[in-house]
Amino acid sequence: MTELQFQHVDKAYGTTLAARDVCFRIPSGSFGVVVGPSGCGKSSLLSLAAGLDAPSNGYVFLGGREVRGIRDDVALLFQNYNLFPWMTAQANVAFGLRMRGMAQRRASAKALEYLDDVGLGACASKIPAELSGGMKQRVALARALALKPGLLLMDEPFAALDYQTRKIMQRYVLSTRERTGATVLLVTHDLAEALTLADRLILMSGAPGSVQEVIDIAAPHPRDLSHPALAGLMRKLEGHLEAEAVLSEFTADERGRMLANG
Amino acid sequence: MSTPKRLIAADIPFELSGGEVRITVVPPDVTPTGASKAELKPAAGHGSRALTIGSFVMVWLVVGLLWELLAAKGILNGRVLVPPSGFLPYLFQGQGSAGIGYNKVTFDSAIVATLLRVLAGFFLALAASLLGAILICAVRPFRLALLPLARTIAPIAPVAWIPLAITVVGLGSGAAIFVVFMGIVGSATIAAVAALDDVPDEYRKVARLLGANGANYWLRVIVPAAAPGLVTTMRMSFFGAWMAVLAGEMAGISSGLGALIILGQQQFNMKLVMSGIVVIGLLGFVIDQLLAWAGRRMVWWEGRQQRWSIPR
Repeated sequence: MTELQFQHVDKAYGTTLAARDVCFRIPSGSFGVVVGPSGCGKSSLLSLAAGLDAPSNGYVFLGGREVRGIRDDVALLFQNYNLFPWMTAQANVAFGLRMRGMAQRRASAKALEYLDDVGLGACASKIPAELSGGMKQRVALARALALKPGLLLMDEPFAALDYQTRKIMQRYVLSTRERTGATVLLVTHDLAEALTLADRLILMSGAPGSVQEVIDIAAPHPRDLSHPALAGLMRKLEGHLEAEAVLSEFTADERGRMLANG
Repeated sequence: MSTPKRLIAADIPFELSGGEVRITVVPPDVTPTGASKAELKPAAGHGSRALTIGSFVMVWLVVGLLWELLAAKGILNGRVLVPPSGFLPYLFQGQGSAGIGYNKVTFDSAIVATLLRVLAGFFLALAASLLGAILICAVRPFRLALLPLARTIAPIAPVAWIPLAITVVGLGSGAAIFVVFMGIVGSATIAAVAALDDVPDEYRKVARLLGANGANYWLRVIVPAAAPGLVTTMRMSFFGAWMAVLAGEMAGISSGLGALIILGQQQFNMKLVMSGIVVIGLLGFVIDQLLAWAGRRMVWWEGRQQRWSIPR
C-alpha cells in the first residue's frame, strides 16, 4: 500500500509561503496529477513527498507512515532528466541498484533489462549527451523503475519533449503504472497532459499554493479529449488558470479583497 | 538538396461563428543553395590541437625573426638580449652550466631538479586541496575552520614562504617543495570548494534518492560532477607552482633552473640566461599541454558532448 496523503501541509522558504494548508490524497496505484499556475508550489509538493524537504507545518504520509527523509520506495523524475553525464545509460540505470548493495555484474544485467523495457537496449553504452531528449527521459524512467518504487514522482517530465515523443512517453508511463501498480504523482502545466493521464486531479491556486479542487476522472485509456465531459473540464481548468494568471498581477491583499467581493 | 517533383496544395475552409478560418497547405519554399554534405564540416577535434601547436611555433618563429632583425640592425643590444642564433646553439651543444665545483649547475640536472620539485609540490598540494575541499563541503565545522585558513594562505605570495622554508627545511628540494605546496594549496582549495559548491542541486537530489551516501556520494557523484571545474583548477595551479618553484630557486635554493639563471646573470653569461628562460617557457608549455590532455581524459564525456555543440 503506497497511498500518498498530504494533511494540512504548509511550506515556507524563509519568509515566503510557497504552499498553504495543502490537503489531498492519492489512493494506492492511482495516477495523481497536480496542475496550477507558476509559483503555486507544485514542485515543493514533490520535494516534500520525496522526503527531500520537510513541511513547515502539517504531515505527509506514504503508505500510512509519515515521510521523514528519503525512502527507498520513492523515485523522482525531473524535467531535465538529470542523468549523470559521465556515466553510460546502463551505468546510470545500474547506479541506484549498486547503491542499494547489488553486485556490479548483476546490477549491470538488471540495468540492461530495464533499458530493453524502454526500448533502449541498443543504446546502453551511449552517454546522455549522445541521446535525444526523449531517449534521455526514457533512461531516467528506467533508472527510476529499476528501484521498483511504490511512489513515482514526476516534475514536468515531458515538458521539454516534442509532441510526438511526449505522447509516446505518456502512453509508456500509463502502461508502466498498469504493470507495476505504483502510485504516481505528476506535476504539469499542460492541461491536455493532465486530462490524458490523471485518475485524480489536484487543482492548485496561485502563490501561496493551496488546493482549489480535487477532481476524480474515471475514463478509460486512451482518452478522447474531445469527449464532452473532458472538453468541458478542460474549459473549466483553462478558465481557472487564466483567472489565476490575472490574479497573479495583484498583491496578496488585493487578491483577498477581490475574492471576498466575489 | 532535391526538390519535390510534385507539390501538393490544399485549401481547407472552416466556417466558425467568429468568422472564416482558412488553412492552406503551401509548397515548401525551396531555394537551391548548392550546399552538399561535403561542405558540412565536423566539429573541431584533433585539428584544433594541431592548430594550437602550429600557432605556438609560428608565433615564436615570427618573434625570433623580428628579434634577429632588430639585433642585426643594432636596435637591440645583442650582448644583453642575445638573439636566438646566439643562445640556441649554446643550448643545444649542451654547454649550459654555471658555477664551479660544488656550486656547478648544469642544464640537465637543473631541469630534473626543478621538474621533480614542482611535480612533487604540485601533486601534494592538489591532493591536499581536494581532500580539504571535500571536507569543507561535507562537514560544516570544517567549512568554518578550514575555509578561513585557506583564504588567509591564498594571498601570500610564494616568495614570502622562502625564508621560512629555508629556515625550517634547509636549502634544497625540501624547501622548494614546501614553497610550491604553500604557494598553491590555499588558492587551489578555494577554487576546488567553488567547483564542488557549484554542482547542480538536482544531481545531489538524484544521488540521495538513488541511495548514494558517504564516499559513494562524494567520489561517484559530486567529484565527477565538479570535474570540469577541478580540471581548470589543476591547470591554473600548475602555473602557480611553476612560478613558485622558480622564484624559490632564484631567491635562495641554490639549484634548479631558477638558480641557473641567477648564476648566469651573476657571471654575465646572457646566453645561459636566455637559454634558461626559453627552457622554462617550453617546459611550462609542454607540461600545460600534458595537463590539458590529462584533463580531457578526466572529463572524457565533455569531449563526446562537443560533437553536438557549436564549434567555438
